[in-house]
This record gives sequence, structure tokens and C-alpha cells, in this order.
Amino acid sequence: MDFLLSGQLLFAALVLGSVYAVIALGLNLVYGTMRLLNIAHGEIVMVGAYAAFWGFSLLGLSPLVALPVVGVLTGAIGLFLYGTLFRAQLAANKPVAQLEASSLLLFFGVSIVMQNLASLAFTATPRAYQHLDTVYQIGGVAMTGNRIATLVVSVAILVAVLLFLNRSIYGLAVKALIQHRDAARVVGINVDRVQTVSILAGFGIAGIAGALVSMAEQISPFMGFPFTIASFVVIIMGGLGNIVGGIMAGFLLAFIEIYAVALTSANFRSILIYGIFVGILVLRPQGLLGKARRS
Amino acid sequence: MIRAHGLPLAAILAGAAALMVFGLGSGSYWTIVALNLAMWIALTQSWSLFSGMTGYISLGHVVAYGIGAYVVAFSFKIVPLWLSIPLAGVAAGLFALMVALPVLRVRGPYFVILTFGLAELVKYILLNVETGLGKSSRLLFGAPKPDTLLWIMVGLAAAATVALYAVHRSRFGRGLDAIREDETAAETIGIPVVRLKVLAYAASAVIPGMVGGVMALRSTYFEVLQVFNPTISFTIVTIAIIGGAGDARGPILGALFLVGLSEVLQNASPQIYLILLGLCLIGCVLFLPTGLVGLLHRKGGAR
Amino acid sequence: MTLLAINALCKNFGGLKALSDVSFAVERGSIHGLMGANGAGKTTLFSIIAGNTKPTSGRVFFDGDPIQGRRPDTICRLGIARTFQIVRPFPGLSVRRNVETAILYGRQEHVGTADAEREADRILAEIGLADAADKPASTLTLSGRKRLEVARALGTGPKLLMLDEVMAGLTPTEVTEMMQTIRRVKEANDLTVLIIEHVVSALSDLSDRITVLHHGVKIAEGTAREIAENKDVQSAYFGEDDDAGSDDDV
Repeated sequence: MDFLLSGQLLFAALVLGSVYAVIALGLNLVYGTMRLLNIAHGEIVMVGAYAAFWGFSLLGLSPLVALPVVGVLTGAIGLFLYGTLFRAQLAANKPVAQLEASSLLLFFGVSIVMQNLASLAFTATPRAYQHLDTVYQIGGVAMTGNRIATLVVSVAILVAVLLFLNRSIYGLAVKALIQHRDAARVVGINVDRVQTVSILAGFGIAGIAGALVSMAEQISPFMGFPFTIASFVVIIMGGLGNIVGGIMAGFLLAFIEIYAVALTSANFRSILIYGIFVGILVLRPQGLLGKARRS
Repeated sequence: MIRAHGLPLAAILAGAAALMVFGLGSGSYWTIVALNLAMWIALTQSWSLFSGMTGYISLGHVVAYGIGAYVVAFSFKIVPLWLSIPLAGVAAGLFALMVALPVLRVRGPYFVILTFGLAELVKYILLNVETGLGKSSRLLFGAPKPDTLLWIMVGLAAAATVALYAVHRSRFGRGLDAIREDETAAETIGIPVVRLKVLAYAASAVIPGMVGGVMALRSTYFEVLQVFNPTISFTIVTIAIIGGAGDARGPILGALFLVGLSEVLQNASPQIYLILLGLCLIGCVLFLPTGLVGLLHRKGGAR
Repeated sequence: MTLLAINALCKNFGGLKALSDVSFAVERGSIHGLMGANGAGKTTLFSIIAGNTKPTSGRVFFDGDPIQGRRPDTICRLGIARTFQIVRPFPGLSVRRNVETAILYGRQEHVGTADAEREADRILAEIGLADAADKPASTLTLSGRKRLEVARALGTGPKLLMLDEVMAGLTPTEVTEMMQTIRRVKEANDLTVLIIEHVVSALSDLSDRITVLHHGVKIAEGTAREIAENKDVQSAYFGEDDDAGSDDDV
């Protein structure tokens, strides 16, 4: 029991929670503004992880230094997908249900393509590198440098995005778009430009999260899928399109996961995640923390 | 719609049947190819019976397949196969029936990811059950030869095709069509929406359950992670999209395409095969919403 | 002879009282009009009668039996058909198939698919849509879609036909045609009609009796002439205009 109360689990939950929150935030921005269900989101995380890995292995670049570059890279992938697959559909103002269904299938195709391109280019063998892995003892809790960095950077990103959404003119436009697409258009928001910003931000921070994850965990072409699932669980818990709810849910999921696994065994992790997932969808599809969704 | 295109349907059926009969008569390579083809046809026709008809896209159809495989593997050498394979279908159907009410209350994208999550949940629960029983995998010694299994699989593919064809023409099918178009309007004109959805959902699980059972015998061992592989669900949806879920020919065309592509490429480079498959899926969603079957009758028009 | 009796019906949406204590009766074989500004609760009333919405309290009797709270498909088969204010045909199905489906499912007796097709063509001819039978419903004009709503409702073989603003948005000529159609199908099929309409002249012209709702409360009932002279109706309906900009009723 002492173990449960120790800071060690708390720290692990905070690190995992901050990563979940950042990744899910990216997914939420893309879904909220465009109603695109990006099930290739985890693959973006994977690309970010590989970019950091190669930057470190080939150029000796610290992932922390490379973060902006990684963000721009995955943001550019997002722009490319937006321009080729979704822009025309969004401009045609199709019914939301149709958009959601076709985006799910399109992103599914994208996810297969990206996984296998990565596997072709980098082989399927998992890789890892060592960076900032010095262990610090703080208040009796052992923390590696890279996990501390992950926590700090993730929280900084969350704060920055929240500030951006609440202060900048684009951020306000993003929020308007999340709340009401048609009305946003009517009040003179340049919807296409705001969507571009959301895609850049959503894909960019997913890539950055991947770079952070790569410091402490093995990476492989197929690492993205669990992140896709976790981030869907998170944004559904928080209420689809609800930004603050999603961030809270990211931490909530991580705490449930870390503590439940500590209490039982790692075997139950997946049952737990999917159990929560199915339970919420069946009982409260509008999310634990969210308001009822507009029809 | 099917009536007007009886000839192409017959031609496609004949082509697929010829390939399968060829598989029966010849060496093991073609037997396996034909078995795969029949399997995907059976699975995708069954999927279409629910998802194609109602528009509720299921991304978790593997759950029926996995439960069926589990039933056959669990009862192997205890219950004779002529009984355990139908039982696999019954078990899958009953499971679907059991979860149908809560699951079918959920709509749109929520439904899609829910079906996926449900299949994964069942997978991990069974995985823990099996681990608890001390069985990380089960070997099925003395399973029938692929030739025999191919006969069964061809039967299942034919049954699934006939079932979809019959549903399309029936009153039941008309009701499902209406549900896909507008559920509220459907119930207002007297369609018992919930009952029809539940029935279609359960019916669409039966044949995949049996297919799963046969495939467990085919691979001669059973492992939870293998038979509940979500790739199977994804592949079914991909076949349906590429082939077109509008009528019974689509899944056959889609399965022919997929098996053909996989035979040409899978061994040479599984990655390139999957990349091409992904690109085909994207291409079909963007440019060919009615799938390959849409190319057969470009006239358009309503059903 | 009363076909439909509404008895002390209430419906609350959260804190909003969409209907409070509404009672009235619809005579068999009559055309009964429902009048009221936006938000008066007319469509909510339709939804409750048809089973799409459950009432908070109160009862609905059809042919003497209580039907409130039953499922829409059950109510439909008992003989109540409704149209939707915002039309909802099955867009991807042909016009004929739209009506056929209603015939297959909406009636108490079993109809074979071949018979249903023939019956659908008869109804489409009656309603003036025969030429469009093979077109997808999505290609119809607004007037066509409103007609299809009526045709599909007729397909279910109703005793009571509930029409929700089937003339809204139509040109004057189309309104006249629609009124003739309503009278014709009512006589031909021995129907009782409950009709919501914003086109007041058309409503007065058609209806044997009119019930007026205002903010969910029944404020008047009578013949068209009585309603026109009613002081409460004048002040509520024509006088103050406080809710002119409010949302459409649910």
C-alpha cells in the first residue's frame, strides 16, 4: 500500500497524463474544427518519434532542440493531407455524418500507408536511443531526466495552446469553428485558413509528443496504434471537441491506468482501457466531462 | 437493381466459383488461395448484410470470427466438427444478440469506434481467461485437410452471398434500406427500427463465427491475439469499400481484387501490398464511392 | 364520433413548458386545424401523438385506446401517419420505393412486395407524382418532396393523417393544388385530417374546426369564423409579436 501512496506512481501518472493530454489535444483540434476522425493520429506520433530518433542518431541533435523542426515536419504532413484529401470535401459543406464516415476511412487508408512506408524505410525492428537518462532523486522519487523533460514540455505545450485559443485571434476563431461551423462562416471567419491553422497545430503537437515519447520508450512503425486508441478514449471521455475536457480526461485516463495496473497486473491494462472506452460510449456518448453534443 | 444486372452477377459468381473449384482440384497453393478468397467473400457478404444495408459501419466484425474460432478450438476433440462449426456460428450470433441493444443505441462515428473497442475488449478478456487457464495457445492436431475445409468455406461463401441477395429483395431489406436513409422517418412509417437492426446485427455475425471456426482448423492452432486480429475487421471494410457494398456482387469483386493483389505482392513485399491497399481504399473513398461494382453500372439512379 | 382525444397533455423540456394541460378532440371524418405562432407547441404535439416524443403527463386516446408513450412504429400501424415539417424523405431511394416501404411496414395487414409496388403507383398517381416515380427522392423540388411526404404517409394506410406545414414554402399555385389534393385524398381514403399550417387562409378554408395554441396553452377552439372573431386569439396571435424571432418548435 505504501507503494500506492509514494510519489513514484504519481510522477508516472503525471508524465503519462501530460503525453496523453497533448496527443489527444491534437486529435481534438482536428475533430473539433473539421469533424475529421483521424485514426492515423498515432502514426503522426510515430513519424515524430522517428524524426527525433534520426536527428539524434545521425546528427547528434538533442530531441529537445529538434522539437520545433519535428513539429513543422508533421504539421507539413497534415497540410499535405488536408490539401489532397479533405479541403474539397470540407468546402463542399457535406453533411457531418458523411464527413465523419469518409474521413475515418480515408485516415484508415493513410494509417496503413504510413505504417508500411515507415516499415519499408526503417524496417519493422523496434529502435531506441539513450538521451537524458540520468536518474535524479527528488523527494525520494526516482525520475529520469527525459521523463522530467517530457512532463515540462508537455505542460508547456498545453498551456501555450490554451493561451493561443483564448488570446489570439486565430485561437478564438478556432474555438468559434468548434462551436458552430456555419455560424463561424457567417460572421466572416476565413474557415479555410482557420482549418489550416488547426491542422498545423494538431499534427504539429502530435509529432512533438512523438519526439518526447521516443526519448524514453522503444519506437517502431507500429507504435502509433495504442496512441490512437488512447487519444480516442481521452477525447470521448472529455467530450468530442471539448478542449479543456480532453486535457482533463488525458490526465484522468493516465491516473486510472497507472494506479489500476499497480493494484492488479499489467495484464489488465488493455481490458481496463477498452472497458472504459466501451462503457463510456454506451452509457455516456457525450463524454464524462462534456456537454451534450449538438445535433 | 440486382434483377437488372443478373448477367454480370452470374458471371462474377461463375468466375469466383471456377477459381474455387480449381482450388479444390489442384495442389495446395491454389487450395489456399481459393480458401482465402472464399473466406473474404463470406466475411464481407455477412458484414454487408448489416453494415452495408443499415449504414452502421462495423469496425469490429472480427469479434464474431474470434468467438467462432474460440468455440471450435475450445471444443476440439470434445464435440464433433459437424456440430462445433455450426455452434461457432450460433455462439457468435448469440453474442451479437446480447450486446446489440446497448451497442446499437450508439450512432455514426461513435458506433464505428465502439464496435472496434468492443472487439478489442473481448479479445483481451479472452486473453486473460486463456492465460488463467494456462493455455497461451491451443494446438488442434488432426484437423481436417485444407481440401475439406475449402468445401466448407465455399459453402459458407455461397450461403452468405445468397443470404445477402435474398435480404436485398425482401421486405426485411427494404426496412433496413429505410433505416440507413433516415431512422426517424423509418420508425414513423411503421418500421420496427430496433428489432430490424438487432436482427440484422445478429444475423451478420453467424457466418463469420463459422468462418472463424474453420480458419482455426485451417491454421491448426488457436491463439487469441491471432484470431481477434483487428486487421481482419479493417480488411473486411476495405474489401466492402473497394468492391462496393451496394449489392451482393461488390464483396465478391472486392475479395477477388484483394486476394489477387495479395497473391501478387504479399510474399514479395507485404509492405508494398499494404501500401497499395491503403491507396486503393483512399482512391475508392474519394473517386469511386460505389466501389468497383459502381463501374459495372455507371447509369446511377436510385434503388 | 371522436377519433382522437387529447387529454390534459403536458410536455416539459428541461424548464421549458412546451405544452401545458392541452385537451381537445378530433372528430372522425373531419379536417381539424392547429394554429399558433412558432414555438406554440404544435409540432411537439404531433411528435407526442405519433410517438416520436414521450409526454411528461397526460393521455392520448385513439379510437378509444390510450396510445401515449407507445413506439412510433406501433402507433403508425394503429393508423396514425404524420408528415414532417422539415421534410425527410429517404433521399437515396426512388420515389416509388419511398412509398412502397411505407406500404410494406405501415399497415396492419401483410402486403406482398408486388402488391406494394402496384399500390405505391396508385398513391403516386393520386398525389400527382406518378411521373417522378423512378427518380431518387433527393432530386425532387420542395413541392415534390412535400407531396412525397404526404404520399408516404398515405402509404401506411392511415385513419388519421397528420400534416405538418405541407404548404409552407410553396408558391400560391402550389398551395391551391395542395389544398385540392388534401381534400381529394381525404374523401377518397375516408380519412380524418389533423393539420398544422402557417398559411392562415388555407387553414381556415380547409378546416372544419380549429384549435389555437399559444406558448403551449390552448387558448381557443372553434370554427374558422369563431376563431377569427376570438379576442384572445387576436391579441395573442395577431397583436403581440413577442416570439416572432423564436426558434422553430420541436
